[in-house]
Amino acid sequence: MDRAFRKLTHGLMLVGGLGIILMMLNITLDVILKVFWNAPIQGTVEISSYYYMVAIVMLPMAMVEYDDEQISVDLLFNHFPSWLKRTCLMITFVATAVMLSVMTWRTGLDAVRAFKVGEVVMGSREIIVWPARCMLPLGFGLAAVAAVLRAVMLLRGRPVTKLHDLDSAA
Amino acid sequence: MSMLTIGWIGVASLFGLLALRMSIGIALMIVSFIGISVMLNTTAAFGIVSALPFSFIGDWSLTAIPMFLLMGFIAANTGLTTGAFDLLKLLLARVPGGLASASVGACGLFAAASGSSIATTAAMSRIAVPEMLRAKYHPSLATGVVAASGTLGSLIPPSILMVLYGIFTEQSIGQLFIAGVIPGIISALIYMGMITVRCTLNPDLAPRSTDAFDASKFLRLLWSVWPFPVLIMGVLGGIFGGFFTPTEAGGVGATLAIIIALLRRSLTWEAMRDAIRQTVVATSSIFFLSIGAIMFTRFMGLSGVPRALTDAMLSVSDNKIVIILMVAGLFVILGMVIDSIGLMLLTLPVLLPVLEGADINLIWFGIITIKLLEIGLVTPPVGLNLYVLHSALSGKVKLGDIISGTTWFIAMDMLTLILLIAFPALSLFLPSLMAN
Amino acid sequence: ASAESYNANHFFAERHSMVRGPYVEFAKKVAEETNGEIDFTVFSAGSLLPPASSLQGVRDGVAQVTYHAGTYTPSELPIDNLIGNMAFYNTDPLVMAFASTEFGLTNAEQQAEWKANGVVYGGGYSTSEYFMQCNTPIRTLEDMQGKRLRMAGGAWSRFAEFAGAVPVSIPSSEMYTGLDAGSLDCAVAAADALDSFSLKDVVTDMNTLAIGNYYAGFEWGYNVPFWQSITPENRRVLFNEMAYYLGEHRIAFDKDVEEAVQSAKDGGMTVVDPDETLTNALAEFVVADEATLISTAKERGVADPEAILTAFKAIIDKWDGLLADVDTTDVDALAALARSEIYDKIDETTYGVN
Ligand code: NA
Ligand code: NA
Repeated sequence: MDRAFRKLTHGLMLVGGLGIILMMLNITLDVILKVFWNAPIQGTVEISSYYYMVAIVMLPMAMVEYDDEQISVDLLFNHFPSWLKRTCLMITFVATAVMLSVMTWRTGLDAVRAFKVGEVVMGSREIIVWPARCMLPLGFGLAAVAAVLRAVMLLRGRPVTKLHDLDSAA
Repeated sequence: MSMLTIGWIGVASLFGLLALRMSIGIALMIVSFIGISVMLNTTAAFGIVSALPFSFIGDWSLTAIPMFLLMGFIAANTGLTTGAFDLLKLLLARVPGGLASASVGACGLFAAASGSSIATTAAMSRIAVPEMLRAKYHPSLATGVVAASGTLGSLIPPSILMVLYGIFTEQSIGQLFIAGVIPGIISALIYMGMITVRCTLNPDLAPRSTDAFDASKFLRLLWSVWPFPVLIMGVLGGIFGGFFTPTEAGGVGATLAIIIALLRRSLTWEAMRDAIRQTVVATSSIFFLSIGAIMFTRFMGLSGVPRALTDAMLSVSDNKIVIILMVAGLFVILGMVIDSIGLMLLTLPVLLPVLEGADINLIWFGIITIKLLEIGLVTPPVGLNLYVLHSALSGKVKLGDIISGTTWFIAMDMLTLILLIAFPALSLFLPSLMAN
Repeated sequence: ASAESYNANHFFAERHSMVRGPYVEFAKKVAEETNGEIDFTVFSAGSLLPPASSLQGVRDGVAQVTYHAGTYTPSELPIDNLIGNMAFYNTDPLVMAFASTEFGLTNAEQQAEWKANGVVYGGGYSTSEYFMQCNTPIRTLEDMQGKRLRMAGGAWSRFAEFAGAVPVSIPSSEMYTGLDAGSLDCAVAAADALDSFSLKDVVTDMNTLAIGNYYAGFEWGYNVPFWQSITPENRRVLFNEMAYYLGEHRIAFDKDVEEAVQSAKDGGMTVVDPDETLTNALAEFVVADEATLISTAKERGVADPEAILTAFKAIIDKWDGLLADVDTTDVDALAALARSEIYDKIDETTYGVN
């Protein structure tokens, strides 16, 4: 279960990484074509904003949560006794899972609505955006699962925080 | 219960949640969601949840963030700074604290290749800090100098914070970029001056080097600095030459960094893979926090807390300098506990009307803001640069030492700030050349 | 929850003519007239809802009243986009503000579309004319060849391509840098941008070819539960005030444009009228583009776009006539006309309720 989930999140992170490279190439090519041939790639702005960016932000979110890479403040936490640390972590994981579930549910409803109306945006070309909307519930949902798995790991006494925290805790 | 009361309770609860080590993004989302539900109703709270994330991520100008991050990580992973650091090291060998001053200079150069302070700090911490520790520099100086100089990453263009500031205040990102050049150089020079004076007065801080100056080595190293002028010309020259916009500059800059790494034969598959992974993780976590921050901004806006604060501030005085000093005080205090992006997104919607009312130039104020946010990056408890450094060194230097090492640099930042406030031309001279 | 806290949302800055009168002053007057029963807190500059989400936000009750730029939601509002993209048939902003308001309030298909999106349409608006604000002289069709124009999308971008120019879609915040650095030749926008986006520092030439104006969406759209919860008397107050600010914002907007253009001219900007090749090109485009408008609307599920266009044109022509006979600088005269011709004919006890 753990390994399968890790593989899945890692795979999604790689898709996000692919998005980074494609966006870089797309923007650079668009600039070159504009500067030398006055022929921009129409739709670069919309594809970059709605597809590459959404993929880069949403797809790796589960891995970021699972690997404890979200930005947090651990200065006070590091001075807590062990039982209090575990309590704080448990509260955090549960709260994270609940909040992300709310996000998943609402952005999921949005994706369904967008699919039903066949949502498009108007730039210099009309671009379909509803498929991009589907990446939000996917990203938030898997990140919620990651928070639940971390809670399970905590109950089983396995490490759930980044290494350096454990160092300073010791 | 009044809206304002709910707002203040929200602010207090936020700090409570942060103390649990909850991620800042989630804490902001929870407080905003519950706060809006209580103030208005759950429908409105759900509305905010569904309206904000997609339209925030789908903003074209924000594409510059992953692109400038990628540029910085590629530069870091392919050792772009090593040559520059070695050159500065050689030049400053006989100067007291020379290694530390060389670190400042290398950070300044690296800043021109990186849009983020975090990337700058992370890159330099692996190169410069071990070398200073080997040379028996005091650990707090060795780490403090990099934690502080890393903040040049946001002041010297390109800069992700400037991109965000430009979007939120509708100021030209290109003008902001160019406005940061002189203040960035001044900051670096003041750091260097302070290091030299301190190390002269207290030689224990930094043992003097006994290396002799080697002219042939100098010439060889001089050549190794070429990527920086190329990147600076490529990114800033491209923007001001009219070839592309500041947003597009991100993509072009990242491509340029890859090409430079290829030419230097330092682009390994591993370096590329790590750079992409680091960019993905940093982008995703920055945006996760930002989504929380824009929800919190809405909650704050609805509660009237910012308005109450503004009224309180304006009732003190409507003098430009007084207002800027009050804002500076606010940023320094909040900067201790709120991350730079969050702090900027939190305060700008509140402060903008005040600034416009007092007729304060927003480019000038932008540079002051960036400088203040950068101070926040090295002040505990929420000082990302401190943690980046701490984790990059795998905890070999105590967090307390890093924090105490930055205090002198923060004092110098205050001096820089006074200069920037007293002489707006330091920020506005270069943009004024561009406008004509 | 605290009772009766109403939010008004606009994504333009508070000093803009479309917020100053129609939102800030409007909110004050409505509060007075309803004895404080309806007291809107105005959130400007997108501080409550991002531009693309204002429709969603007013439907979900984040705001009780909002401005919405229709082209952000082409799939949700196909009829509104059909008429919003017909920006070249009559380019008098005053006519389009009044005509689109009457159409939005009375056309049955359009009413069904508002209802399907969970919003009660209150009234429309129009920006001033869109002009080409350039860093290089544009006098003739020939001058436009290969020029990079920042366009508002949709019909505007199609016109650029029709005229041989290259449409560029960038956010308004990048217009300045684009023009300054030369990656952009012209920004096509209402000319108050010379001031509000500081374009006067970088624009040397303005061509007064009226490339349509922007009136898609609505200036006031209300949350349905809110609208149904207020008394008919208070709905009438809102009608009356909207009727007033419909004309008021037009006069204020044009005044801002005039001041911005004057100050840019003082700074050395040249203003030229279009020559025949340009006006002819625009006329040809308008005819040719109607087919595109109709086929796009059909793809989006509008049953009879031709009939809708015909109905809208009739309303435009009617207002073209009505407004020719009034002093268009007199807010009260315009308000009286908006009331007698539009708002007084709407039943406040049933509108938006059934
Ligand atoms: Na930088
Ligand atoms: Na801090």
